[in-house]
Amino acid sequence: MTKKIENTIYNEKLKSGLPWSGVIKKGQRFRIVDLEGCQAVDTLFYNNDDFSEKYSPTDTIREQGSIFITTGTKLISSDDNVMMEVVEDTCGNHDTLGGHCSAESNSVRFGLDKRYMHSCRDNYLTLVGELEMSPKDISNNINFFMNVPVEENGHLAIVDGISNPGDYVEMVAKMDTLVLISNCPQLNNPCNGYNPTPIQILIWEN
Amino acid sequence: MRSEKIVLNETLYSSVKWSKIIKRGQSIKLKALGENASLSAMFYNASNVSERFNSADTVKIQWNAFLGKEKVLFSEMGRVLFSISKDSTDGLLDTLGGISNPRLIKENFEGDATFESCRNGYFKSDRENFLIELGKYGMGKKDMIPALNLFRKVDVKEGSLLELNPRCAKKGDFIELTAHMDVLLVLSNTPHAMDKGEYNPSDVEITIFDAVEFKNEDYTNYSDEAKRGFKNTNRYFA
Repeated sequence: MTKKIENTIYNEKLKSGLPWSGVIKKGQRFRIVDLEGCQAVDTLFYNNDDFSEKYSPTDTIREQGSIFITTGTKLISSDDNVMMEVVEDTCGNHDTLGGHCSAESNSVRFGLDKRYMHSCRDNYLTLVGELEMSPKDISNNINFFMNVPVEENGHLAIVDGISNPGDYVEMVAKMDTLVLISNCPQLNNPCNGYNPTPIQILIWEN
Repeated sequence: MRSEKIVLNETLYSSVKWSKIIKRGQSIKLKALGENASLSAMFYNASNVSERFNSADTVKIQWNAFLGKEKVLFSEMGRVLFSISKDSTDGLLDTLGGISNPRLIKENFEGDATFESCRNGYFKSDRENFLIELGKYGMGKKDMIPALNLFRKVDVKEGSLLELNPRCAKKGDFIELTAHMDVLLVLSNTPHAMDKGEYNPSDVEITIFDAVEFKNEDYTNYSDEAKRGFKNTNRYFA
């Protein structure tokens, strides 16, 4: 089947700052589009039959020998299985190290008075609450379209994004995978250009 | 200032797992007794184990993928579980490489060292060690987190490529962690997940020093971010 927009089985816009969850069945293709560019899309993955098996950032980057997610990356689970494989990427260098923002980490990073601001962890806590999962299920996520270069001395910073409007990343599911997304609401750093924007989520049958 | 009074002194033998609650104000010194030390650590707020070490927040908040003396180890609640109060290894710490599993041990180390062939000298992996030790606290797979590795470091070359730094701790090198909360600390003494060759992790001496009350001067050498973390932590105990 050709991969045309009219052939999608799911095609929805997700406004900035909102959570999203969905199951990508084995063999289905899953695309995230950065509609306006420079957005950060915080994403977690679980085996839909057993949430205790989840995306493992350390296994994923160690097995591929590189800290960035891009075309060819296999997302490895905590049980050493391939969950997803990235098959298309018009942006490159998606972050694996920065994790997600939270009220609590905002208070430490930007000032104790920033605790009130909306955050990705709030979105994840909402999702795991709704799905009757546990906060223990929330681990280090992938930040699609977020730019976190690391220097030889280890210096690391979330800097201006490199994604252009319409850039996308596409994956094929290797198992039935529950995906949790927080379309990042951070206003205190350039992870999304200080201006959170919407994304598009598309799913195709293979 | 930490106490000089030792409340526990014991040896963590090669390939073995270990756990203990380190109380707020106590310090734990981990000393390499050989030239091939390599520990992996997972740790939790002992009073609420859903609060745990968060490597992403730890490196992001402190602007560096690498850790060392006077860096702190954050939970996802913006609180400090441990500060790295002493480090004679000059930064042999790692949060990138993760932990070993039985497949990696089989691929990376020569010899078919099963229990049947080697009895208690069999080649254990971090995954087995952590599952067993966490199970004793009613915890399991969901509680396994991106670990802190001690006595080895993973470099990031050319902006992205991961390489295990060949440098090892010298015999007698030590890392000392000070607990700012009651911390459940779980250790696994196995080779680093990116190590290859000989399976021979060194014994490590564990010394725990008596608890002290924190004073403002204890925080002096830490970053502004760490200081806000200490404030959040002290608020928790107010």
